[in-house]
Amino acid sequence: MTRHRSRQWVVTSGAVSLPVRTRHDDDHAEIEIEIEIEIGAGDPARTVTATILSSSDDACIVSVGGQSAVVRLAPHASRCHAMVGGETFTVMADSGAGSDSADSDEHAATASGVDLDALSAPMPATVSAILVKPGSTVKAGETLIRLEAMKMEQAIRAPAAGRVTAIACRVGELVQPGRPLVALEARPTTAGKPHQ
Amino acid sequence: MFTRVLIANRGEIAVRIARTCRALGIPTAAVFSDADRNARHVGAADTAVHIGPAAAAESYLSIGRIIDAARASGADAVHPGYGFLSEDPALPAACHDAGLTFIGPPARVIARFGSKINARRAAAEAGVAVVPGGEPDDQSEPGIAAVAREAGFPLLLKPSAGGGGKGMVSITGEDELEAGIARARREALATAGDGTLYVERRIERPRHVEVQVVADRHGTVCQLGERDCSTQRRHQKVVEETPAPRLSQGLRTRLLTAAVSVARQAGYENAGTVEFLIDGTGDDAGCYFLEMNTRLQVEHPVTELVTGLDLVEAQLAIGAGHRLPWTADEVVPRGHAIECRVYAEDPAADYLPQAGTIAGYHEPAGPGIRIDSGVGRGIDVPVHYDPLLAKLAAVGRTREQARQRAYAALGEFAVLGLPTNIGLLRRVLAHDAFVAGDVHTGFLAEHGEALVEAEPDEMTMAAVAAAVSVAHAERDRRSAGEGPSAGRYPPPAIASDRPDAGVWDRLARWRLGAAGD
Repeated sequence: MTRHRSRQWVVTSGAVSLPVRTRHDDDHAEIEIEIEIEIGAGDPARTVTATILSSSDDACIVSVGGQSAVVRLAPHASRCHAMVGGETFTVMADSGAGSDSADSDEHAATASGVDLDALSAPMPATVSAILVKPGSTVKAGETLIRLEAMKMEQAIRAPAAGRVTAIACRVGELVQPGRPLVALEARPTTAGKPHQ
Repeated sequence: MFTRVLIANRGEIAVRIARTCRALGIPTAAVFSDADRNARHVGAADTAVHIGPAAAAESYLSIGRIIDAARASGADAVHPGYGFLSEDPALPAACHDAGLTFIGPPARVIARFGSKINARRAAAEAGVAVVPGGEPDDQSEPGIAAVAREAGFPLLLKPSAGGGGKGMVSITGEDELEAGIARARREALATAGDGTLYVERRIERPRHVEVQVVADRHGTVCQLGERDCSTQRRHQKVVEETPAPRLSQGLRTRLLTAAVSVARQAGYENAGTVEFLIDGTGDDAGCYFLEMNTRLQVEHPVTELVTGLDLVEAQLAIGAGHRLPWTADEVVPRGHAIECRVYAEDPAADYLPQAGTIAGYHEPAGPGIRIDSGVGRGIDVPVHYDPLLAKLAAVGRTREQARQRAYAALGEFAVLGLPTNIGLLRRVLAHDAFVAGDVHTGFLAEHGEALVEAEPDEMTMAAVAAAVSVAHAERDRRSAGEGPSAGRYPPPAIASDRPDAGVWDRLARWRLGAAGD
């Protein structure tokens, strides 16, 4: 009995993300695997056929349109990192769109915009200075917290005017990406002077 | 030569030093912090000593801990590498007190070149021009302003005790002067811990060319040619090459002669680099002393590739009091070499350094390719240290051959799991201006947008999805207890988190457990 596998992916490189659907036979007895690929979400989608010439745990040789390339792979958490010709790509399964389930919590997280409630660390870093206190009124662009990573300093700034409601880190603390650092309550700039 | 050399560093340079020692049959000791227990340099040495917590101040920058580690491992010499304590005159002094040989220049020479003001005086004493500017004895605001007006605009205010372009303030005219001096003072205090400033004329589109020198205790000072390090981002080098492209023979001779004069006048010993700013291209171009780095330089491999010499071997020989292992006549540079620095950084986010775990790793190889790497699969890149991961150098008969080889090899270099500048490096090497050798320190800033991100190709993205889909299916098969499919190579029998790991890597780790803390 032959099983078919059809999955939807989001392939990202830099600022560009591309939806891609792959279909292939899951019980392939042949050495070469033929894969049908639909590129883009448009109607009609562009379709190409790729051939996997060989694969191992960390690399695949893929042939598309007469060109073959080595794709280096590294699955990491819910995504897979890949490299072809010096350019890197991140591939995530698009949940709900494929016939297989896949975790894509990070996908949902990247889709959300600036969160005014809690500003978090963009990368692993050490908190080098906290310049505000709970209750401080801040202007848009004002530096709230300084982080240091690899000899470089980075400022966490207020995305809009507001009031600090909580500080969630300590000076000297090592914070991981996504870790909330400071909570802000947005305040319209026309609200007048802060009360003492 | 030595009973054991302690390598007081981490990352690629610690691995590189260990390799030469191993080739010479000299045992080595590595040091590691809490953040580096599984780092590649730990396994590269014959024994390893834990020296403290992740924070560099309490581990790689702690002279006490380095000296203790040298004693504990039975070392009689200390190689500082670059960065960390390599240019701190207190380390050679402490080594001397502990009866250890410091592989580098004497403390007084390091101290002299560690101060930018004293370094400029040393160059002037050797009859070598310095960038127009001054060294205000009067460090008050009016005192600095007077020297600044004399040097002329545009100009730079730099911390005397700083380095690596940190804390530098650019001033384009008189109206910015007063505020600029105050800002430079703050920056100098913040980055160098010392508010002493010096003034330097800013040269437009300058080139950064440096000369490798090596000197022994017996009066021999030898230059090993120049390196062009003009391709920089935020004053940090990214691509270096030798010989420097588009450099007239007259200008080259002036540079090499000036470098030897500075080293000789200063009583230099061991390997060092004299850096110059070049204003123009012809024989009469401006050629100004910038600073002298009193240590092994990050980009030393390009010099090794064209001369066939091993600079770490020379450093060890000089440290042991031997004569230089070659004569000047024997040094005949051949061909052209280009080095690319692979950093964990995101060029699209203003080169923000990145940390994380390297989930996938593959090093290129091939004719004329040399990789100096401090990382591998499964290794953590900690936030605590410099984001340099590896260096890829290519040598060729011509500059163009070296460039093509480096470009192709970068296309095979996989460092997966965190952003790197590999794509950017490829685009730099492919850029028309770089191909033509038209390099200057503003190159990356000038062509930034075209270099930072590539427009991804849809067919490549489709190929990537195909590969991931098949890999995913294979993992599902395996977890369901099914055998590999026909086209599939079986998974490796020994799971490993290291590049090219084998039984020897495991042994190195076992030894580490025995010899460590």
